[in-house]
Amino acid sequence: MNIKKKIFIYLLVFVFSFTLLIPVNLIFASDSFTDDILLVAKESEETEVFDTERLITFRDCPFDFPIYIKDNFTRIEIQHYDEHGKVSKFGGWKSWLEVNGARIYEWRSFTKGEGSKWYDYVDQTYYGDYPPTDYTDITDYINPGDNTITFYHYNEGAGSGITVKVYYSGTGESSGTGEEETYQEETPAGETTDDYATDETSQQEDLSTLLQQEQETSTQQDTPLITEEVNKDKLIFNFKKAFINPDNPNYVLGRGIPGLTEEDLKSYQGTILYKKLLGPGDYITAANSWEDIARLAVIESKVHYNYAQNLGYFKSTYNILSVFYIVQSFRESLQDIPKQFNTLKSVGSAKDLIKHKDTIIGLSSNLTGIYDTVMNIDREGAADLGFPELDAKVMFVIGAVTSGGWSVLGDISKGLFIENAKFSINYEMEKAILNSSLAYHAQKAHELAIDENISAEEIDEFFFHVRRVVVLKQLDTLLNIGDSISIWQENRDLTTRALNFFKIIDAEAALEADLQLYDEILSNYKGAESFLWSIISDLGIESK
Amino acid sequence: MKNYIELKENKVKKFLFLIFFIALILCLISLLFCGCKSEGKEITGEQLGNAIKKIDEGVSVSRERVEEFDKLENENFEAISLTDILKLASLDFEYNADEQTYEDYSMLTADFIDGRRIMIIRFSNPGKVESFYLQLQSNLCDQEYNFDQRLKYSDICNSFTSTNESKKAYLLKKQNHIIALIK
Repeated sequence: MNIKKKIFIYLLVFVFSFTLLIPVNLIFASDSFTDDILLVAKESEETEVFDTERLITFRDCPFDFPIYIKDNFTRIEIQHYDEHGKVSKFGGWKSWLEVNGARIYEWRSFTKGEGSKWYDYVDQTYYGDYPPTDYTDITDYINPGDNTITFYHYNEGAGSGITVKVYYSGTGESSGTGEEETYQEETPAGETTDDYATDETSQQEDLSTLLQQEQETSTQQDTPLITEEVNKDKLIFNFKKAFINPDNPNYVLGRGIPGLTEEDLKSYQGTILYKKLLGPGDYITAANSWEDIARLAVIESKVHYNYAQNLGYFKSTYNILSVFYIVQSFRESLQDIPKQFNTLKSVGSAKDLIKHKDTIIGLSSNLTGIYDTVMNIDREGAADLGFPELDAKVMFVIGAVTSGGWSVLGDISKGLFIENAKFSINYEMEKAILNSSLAYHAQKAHELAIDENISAEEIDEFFFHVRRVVVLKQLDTLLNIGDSISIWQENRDLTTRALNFFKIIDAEAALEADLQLYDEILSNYKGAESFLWSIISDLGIESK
Repeated sequence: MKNYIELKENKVKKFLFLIFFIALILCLISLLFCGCKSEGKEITGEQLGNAIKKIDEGVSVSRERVEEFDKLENENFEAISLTDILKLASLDFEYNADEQTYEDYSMLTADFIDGRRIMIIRFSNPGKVESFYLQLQSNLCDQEYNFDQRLKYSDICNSFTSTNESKKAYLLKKQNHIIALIK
């Protein structure tokens, strides 16, 4: 064989090998999700930095650092720096930091051999002698206008400076246009919610498709309709005058929401129920407005996103899913789960959250799809593994209520009552997404409530959001009941023994007491719902 | 000589055709798989789970070691008894132990003379361990403990501190076992 032939043959083999590589690459590339998926798109923002411009020694403490924040802020972060300019959380003896009186972190203990420990109230975690370098998000603790940061420590040495980064939205506050879709815009004609409530079979077949449909159609059936007379007059009036009752001046703004009043708080203080309603920690104060409710719900959602991730929900879900062979058609959207989760978890304020309505719906829809798929493969097996039938419906309802519908809450509440509560691994995720949804509706209600003059359409919209806040609080309470009792329901002896081991010996008695309180809360929400209906009726607003 | 060269050439040709044929087949198979994948119709549970597992990798894992768990790291729990697990975790300290077997699980608890306490639960149904582990943690966080940090043990190990800071609890899940340690 001459040299030309040899070269030709080698070339031929090379070209074929190369062509083989292309499809192989295509296959393996599609198998893994790149880090890009986890990246949350950053919006264009303006920033402002406040700096103490000096190190604060223990002699200066407690040190007050006043800052003025303009009202179009989107995110605010804080961090310390040392004499070398190195930025990290502060690891000072007996140190603490407060924003407007709310504790951000504090020194907790010192153990020989282990060193000191600080508790981070924002992340709900401890850090040690090598403090993390990431900035702490304090958006939820800041009000527009004057704010005070107070710093204390008892450390010898150069001390520590404080730097605060404030991000402002480039275009100022949104006025309900652009990416914040109003519910009216989503409302083509279509089915009614009753269709979903009665067609049990179709729900079980494909809840995620239904969610999509509900998102598209729900608003129309649910939108309260102003009577023709009111519409004709294009009623514009003073909102506060019309809605605030002199004998009960706060009911519209949120104090009337059971479970969130100061009086209620006092009676629940220190109980499990208090934590369940308002989240752990002492940074929570009673809600005075819809904005407060939204803020509390964002914090509550963060607590549960963190619990879900840290306690191992995603690892367990992986372990469970690995035993199934699944044939389904929504793979593309599954790639969005990490991005959706990280987006919602990192949202710093309710103001920010309302831009992510679609993310709440998307994550609910994806998880509904997973629960539903696993359940349809092996109903009993899925329930044994912690994916009971009800979870797909709960997740579906959360997505549906976010998108504007009511869906099958009645069925859910029946299913979640004590005798039917099922062991589930999904409670933390359900509570996390539910609270995101609740914060979304509460924030929208707040933005309407602060308007001095409000149009008839906006009154509609206000009640639309308020009713969804109330219904989500009901579902939240039901989930809390489920979470607390299902572990007892299915493993009473084992749970008693395990909690006894942790010296929580009166857990069962505490549960009984809490169940009674949960009942009261549920009946309060029922009362709140009726109360709302009476206001709606008095104002001449009709709703299907 | 000429015959020999022709024979050699034929052999080379046959060999090259074989390579060409194999390459062609592989190429076709690859394209076939690629087509199926792009439709996104089929997916194993493992692939589905992998999308979700990515989120768990975002949890920061502490380097803190728990001596009692170090010796358990490489053991196959299926092959040893609860007492064997306890002995490995005991660090040769004396203890009082109590072991009970029930319908769905076995449980061993032990008190060490230095005040540490350990509980080992073996589930008959391996599926149950995932859900019980998660819900037990949820309940602990609602009661008298706060989540502290994730530790680097297989399969998952979380630590908790009691609200009054007096105790630290470690909860390890491995195979169909849950091991709780308080010290």
